[in-house]
Amino acid sequence: MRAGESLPARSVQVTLADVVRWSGAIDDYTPIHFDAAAANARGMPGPLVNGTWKAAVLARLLSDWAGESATLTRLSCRYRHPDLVGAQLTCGGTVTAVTPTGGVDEVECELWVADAGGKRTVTGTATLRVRRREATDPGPVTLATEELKAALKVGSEAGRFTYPITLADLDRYREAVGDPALGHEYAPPAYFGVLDPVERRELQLDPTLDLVPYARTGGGNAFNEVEYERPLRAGDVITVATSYTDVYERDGRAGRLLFRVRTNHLYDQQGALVARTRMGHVLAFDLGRRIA
Amino acid sequence: MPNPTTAPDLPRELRALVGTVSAPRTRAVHPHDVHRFVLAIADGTGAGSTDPAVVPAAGSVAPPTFFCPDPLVTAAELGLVRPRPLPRNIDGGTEWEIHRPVRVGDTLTSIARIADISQRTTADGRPMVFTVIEVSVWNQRGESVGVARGTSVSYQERAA
Repeated sequence: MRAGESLPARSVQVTLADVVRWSGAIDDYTPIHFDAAAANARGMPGPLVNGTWKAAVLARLLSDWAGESATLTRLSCRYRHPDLVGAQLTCGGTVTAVTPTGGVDEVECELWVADAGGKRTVTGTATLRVRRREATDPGPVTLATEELKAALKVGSEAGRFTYPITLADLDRYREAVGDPALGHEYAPPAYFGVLDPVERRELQLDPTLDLVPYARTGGGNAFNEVEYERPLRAGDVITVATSYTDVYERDGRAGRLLFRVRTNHLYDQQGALVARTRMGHVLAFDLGRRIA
Repeated sequence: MPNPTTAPDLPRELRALVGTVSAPRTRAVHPHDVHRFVLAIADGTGAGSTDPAVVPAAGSVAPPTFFCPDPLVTAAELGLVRPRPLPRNIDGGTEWEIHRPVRVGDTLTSIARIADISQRTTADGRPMVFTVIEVSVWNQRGESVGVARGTSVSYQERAA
């Protein structure tokens, strides 16, 4: 609710049944409201609609519009002109002020009832106390959704990539990590990291992270593990079969941490298993910043 | 609204009425009382529309003005005579202060009082008297549920 907002106007053609119902509801049988002769004797062309009925209809308009979080605390109506039974009346209003006080908003409204010619036969004001909706608790947030797991094809093979290993490759690696054993045909133990299609950006599953609707605040490799059946060596042609095996999350100091674990199986050109690796990658998300 | 009691031309007998209090009345809020009220202000009220399914259950909250739908009517029921010093008398307006919800099953006690009488003169020189009748209502726990004020306007017809 904001100042200037209009209440949805409501139109009603007032029937004799309406005023009779009202007479019964409030135990007021003043005849000018339902007896034409009595109204005529008072100089009116016909029975008159009760002012307090029009006010009660305005109160209902307010309650229906404001909903259950609102309480009407004041309603003031002036009955400016009489309305005859049978009149087509429109009830409406406008919010004139919203003042936050404590946990509630004090909402001031102007109200009116207009006849078919647009003349305001009732004008009024009202005050509502509206409980402010607290920042909605999103409930438990899950990042490792079934949707994300499906997009990462968890449990099934994501792809196969073949990499020949040459002596030149091994030497470049040794130079990069400061290993003096240049020309050695066996690969250093950590060389398995070179044969990872995700690190090489040859297997692109990162777009699936767009499924996570929170701001990403950091991330990196969490762990790398390897079990060798035999050492890798120059001359091998290694085929790497990659699959995501696990997606899970936990809360950390950097926010919600989403772990993706992938397993590579490394086979040689004879199809024999050479090594098995597990690579864990972590991303941090700020659950307070929803981006989608 | 001008201060009535200091208005120099307000007749003394009218001024003397300010502060008059009615006898109290206590009544229970029955489901059908609230039901009739709700039906009377509902949309599309067809005659005979008394669907029993909508009879409010015990504890249901009544509409806001239910505690005193019309203070001028309530005052008359409580025996408080509404001053009619001039030939024409109409209901000029109503104000409700709503302090607490009224529920089916509550017992309400009402007292009416003449809170104010003031006099004004119309542009063409005719007198008008405004009488404010205030009805205060409490529930069975002695808590105020609200105050309703009705303004009765008494006036002289314009000369033909």
